[in-house]
Amino acid sequence: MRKDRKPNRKGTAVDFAPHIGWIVEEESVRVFQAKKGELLKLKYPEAAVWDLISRYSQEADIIPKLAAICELNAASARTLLRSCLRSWLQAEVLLKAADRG
Amino acid sequence: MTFSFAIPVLGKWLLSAPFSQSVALVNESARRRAVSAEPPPDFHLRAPEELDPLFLGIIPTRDCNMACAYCGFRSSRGSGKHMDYALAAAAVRWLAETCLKRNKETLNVHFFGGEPLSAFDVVEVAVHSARRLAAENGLIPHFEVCTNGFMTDDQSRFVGDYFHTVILSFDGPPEFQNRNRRLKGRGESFETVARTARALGDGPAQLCLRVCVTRDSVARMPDMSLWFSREFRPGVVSWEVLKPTSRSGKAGLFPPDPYDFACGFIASRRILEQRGIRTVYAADVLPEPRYTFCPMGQDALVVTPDGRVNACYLPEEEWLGSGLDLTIGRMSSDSGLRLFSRARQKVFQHVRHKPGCDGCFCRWSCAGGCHVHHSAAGRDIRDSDFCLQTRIITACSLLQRMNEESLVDELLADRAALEKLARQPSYLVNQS
Repeated sequence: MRKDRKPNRKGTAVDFAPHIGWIVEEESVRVFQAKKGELLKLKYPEAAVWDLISRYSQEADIIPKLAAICELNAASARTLLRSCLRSWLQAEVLLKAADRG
Repeated sequence: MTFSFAIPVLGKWLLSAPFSQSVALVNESARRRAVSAEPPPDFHLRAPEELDPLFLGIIPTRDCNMACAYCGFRSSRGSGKHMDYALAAAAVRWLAETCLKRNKETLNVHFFGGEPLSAFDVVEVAVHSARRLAAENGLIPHFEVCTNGFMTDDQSRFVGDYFHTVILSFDGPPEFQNRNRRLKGRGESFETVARTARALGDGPAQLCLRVCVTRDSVARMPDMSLWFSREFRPGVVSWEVLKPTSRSGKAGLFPPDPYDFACGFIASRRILEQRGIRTVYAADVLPEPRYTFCPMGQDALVVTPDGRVNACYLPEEEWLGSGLDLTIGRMSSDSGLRLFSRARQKVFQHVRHKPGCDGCFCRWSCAGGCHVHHSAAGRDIRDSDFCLQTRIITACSLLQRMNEESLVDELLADRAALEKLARQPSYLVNQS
């Protein structure tokens, strides 16, 4: 399990919540938080979104890759990305950047 | 028992039958009584009608971030072209559809370069496309990458998380790695590559260290084996000899003596395998006979950044220089694969046509070595360094199968016996 990843996401709208870690499995990504245990099991295409946002902060870097991976046009890829971000903010595995204190 | 080949070993004869996988150690009188009747192999000169890909190779770019002193690839001069995301995704889709049609379970994707991670974004797209399609279709994804290890920590984590096998070119301690495998601009690569190797050795991917041995490093193979096992915990160490290029001579790098290399390899294998590390010399004898040294001729399809589909990962100028055309199709993001059937047939015939190997006991284990650099038609390879070292290593491997370890030691200590074994012109059992 990866613990306390510190992706380079400075200056972006979202960040990972503290003590988030994840494991890459054959068909999915499992997201954990210390003390709370498993929070999410992400299948595709969400698993790809999770991996991409761990390395890229700008939509412009993510959308073309996500579009190719999921065989979507750019608008649909953007919708998918934003929907994932919304859902993970709600689940509190991501935080708005301003919340980081 | 019938045998095909008789190999002289210190006054005895090692008899070998590659197709029945039989070996025996006999005296001269028994050799004379041995019968050479192993049937010729079932020799499919034609490719099967339907394509049955061993794996899909993707070359995201021919660019490379290093400038190795022996590299013959044009990539280190940099072509700049990276594969389009759509082409990478289309290639993976084609593979998934083919696997489903042929009831194959594994979606096997290999990445070559240049340095494939120089186009890291293309690798990300191909890996996630393959994983998505595998998950949707009940397939098992399998990823392998050949890399120089000069990567960021982020990239190293991605490789550790998503790849099953990492073949990392790493020539050993700083005195070899920094001399042989320099960065562009002549910087040293050792620290970063060693860090990558440690990180990957600690992860779940199988780490295979691919070591290029030179005249200067050959005597250090046993020391290096201990060091590799202690420092990096690889699953596999694969030893290769330097292939001379126009650059390598200028850099003062030369291939090792083939006898020294063979001795170094056997010593290293003992050290590494005692520690649970598989030790590879690519031309060594395998559990099954083979008619091709490499994936060429087994329907491995290698897609280049511009969409050509080749039977080999080497750059075009290398095989054209050997009189070969190994382009067997085109892949496009619109229409998938267009296969050139006649070109594919020629590749099948080329890998099976090895007149230079007639009579050699390694014919069905090394299969002539690299089809481009070593055994292209018309080359006289009989006493090449590759053949000499391969015969010694193969004979030692066969003896070790019979637990004749002390005979191997005796043989390796006797240069005249090694030369007799490696240079005898014919090995057919029924010839005197």
